[in-house]
Amino acid sequence: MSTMQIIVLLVFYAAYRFTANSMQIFSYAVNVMLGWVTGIICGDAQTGLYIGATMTLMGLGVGGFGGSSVPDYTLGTILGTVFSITTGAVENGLAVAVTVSMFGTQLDVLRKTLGSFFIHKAMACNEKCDFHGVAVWVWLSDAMRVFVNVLPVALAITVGADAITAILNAIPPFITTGFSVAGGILPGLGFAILMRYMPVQKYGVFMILGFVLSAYLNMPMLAIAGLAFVAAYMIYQSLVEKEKAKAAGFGGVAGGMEDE
Amino acid sequence: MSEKILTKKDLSRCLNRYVLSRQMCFNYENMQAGGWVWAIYPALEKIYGDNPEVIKEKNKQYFQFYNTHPWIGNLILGACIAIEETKDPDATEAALALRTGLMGPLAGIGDAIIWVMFPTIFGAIAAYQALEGSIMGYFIAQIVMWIVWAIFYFGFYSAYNAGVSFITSRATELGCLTDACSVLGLAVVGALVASTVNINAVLTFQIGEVTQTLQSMMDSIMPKFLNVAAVGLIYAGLGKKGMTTVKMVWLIIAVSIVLAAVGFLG
Repeated sequence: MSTMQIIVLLVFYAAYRFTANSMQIFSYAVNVMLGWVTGIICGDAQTGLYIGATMTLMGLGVGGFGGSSVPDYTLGTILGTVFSITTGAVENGLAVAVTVSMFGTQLDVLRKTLGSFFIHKAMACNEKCDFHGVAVWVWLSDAMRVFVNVLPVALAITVGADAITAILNAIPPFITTGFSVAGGILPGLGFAILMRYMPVQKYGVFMILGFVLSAYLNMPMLAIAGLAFVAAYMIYQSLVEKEKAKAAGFGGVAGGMEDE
Repeated sequence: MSEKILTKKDLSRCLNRYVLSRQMCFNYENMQAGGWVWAIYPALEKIYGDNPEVIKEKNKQYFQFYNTHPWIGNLILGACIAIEETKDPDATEAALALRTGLMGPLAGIGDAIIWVMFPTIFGAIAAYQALEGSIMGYFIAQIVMWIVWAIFYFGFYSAYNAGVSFITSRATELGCLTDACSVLGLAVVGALVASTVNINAVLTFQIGEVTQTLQSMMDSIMPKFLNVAAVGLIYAGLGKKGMTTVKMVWLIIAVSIVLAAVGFLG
């Protein structure tokens, strides 16, 4: 990569990272976009789209709920795209992507641990009624966070590039095949997580509807979503009716009590 | 209700600060509290500007543990500012009780719908189209995301106007809506299990004269049989005690490498 490409990529990733934590204005399917833009910067948008799409599928349903840390697939998308393009082999890039995504879990733990230092500084400023100091420490913590996230990318594409390429060439083929098999299965993890959040026992039968329409009739996704919307709308209507009837029933009873 | 102290501009300042800071200074002790304190400051300054000691005491209370879905946090902030504006001596206690009481249940709804359902469905569509070389699916996902984001952004003002009652007044409707969303979500998930999970059995059998692949045998039972089996196993596995998402990712990678190495999957 040229110096210019490296600078543009790092600035782009840092800017995305800044928005990712609080503003969250790019969050759905974001790896498709990150792969695409990284691909454009490196001169091969199609490869970027492929890596980004694969990482999006792997990361479906995976989120850091309640402060937990999960694999950082954005890190994987950026580095996976770069190394797919620079080594000319998508399987290599995918192996990098999966590995660094898992490593990203530890980075997230690190920056949340470091966060304690900043929050104590901010609380100490508050004790002195120094509200400007509170703001400074809260914002400094965010600079630290972006730094922790961007540093591995900077290292990997500059000083570490040769080392990573050497490691990649040494990986036996059955491992890279294994990673691409995992890439095919991992979207299933997303759906399983989603099912854990949803009333499967109550409405699970609708999964059969979607499955049959897709697996047997090969219907496109948006068509299935359209049919599912009709079903959802009808269920919503009937539930609201039921609630209204129930509320009216309770109202009558309450009125009766008041009369006594 | 006492007189209004805060102007629309003051409210917007708090909201925009909160959007920038709602997960800033995240740490394992009080999680999102740091960003909250910075965000609510313009309102406290307007109400108690002549008395920094009062603001300090209020900040100390707001530095207590806080963690919710960031977008839904807008609503909690709106309601809490409305409580602070009453200048009631116990306003911060009431606001904190509301904040702590709502953060869990609202995060539950937010995580399930905003972080799992929508991104899973639209992410799968976007990724599927991207694998075929098109970026259009991504733009659909992005637009959906911005609409949901904007609803919660402007929801801040509704929450402020309604104060404490904002969530209870809409509770039953919200319950019905969640149920209806689940129906839509589950149908799409059923379809996605068939279309986006990609498992190929490469094992072949020699039966008499005929060579048959395991894949074709399974397809004759049911198309996408392996997809259903894999998702079913993962779903069951996630229900096991001590199982986490990260452990499951590792497990899937390990099993994939083994099954690929022995020539079962490819």
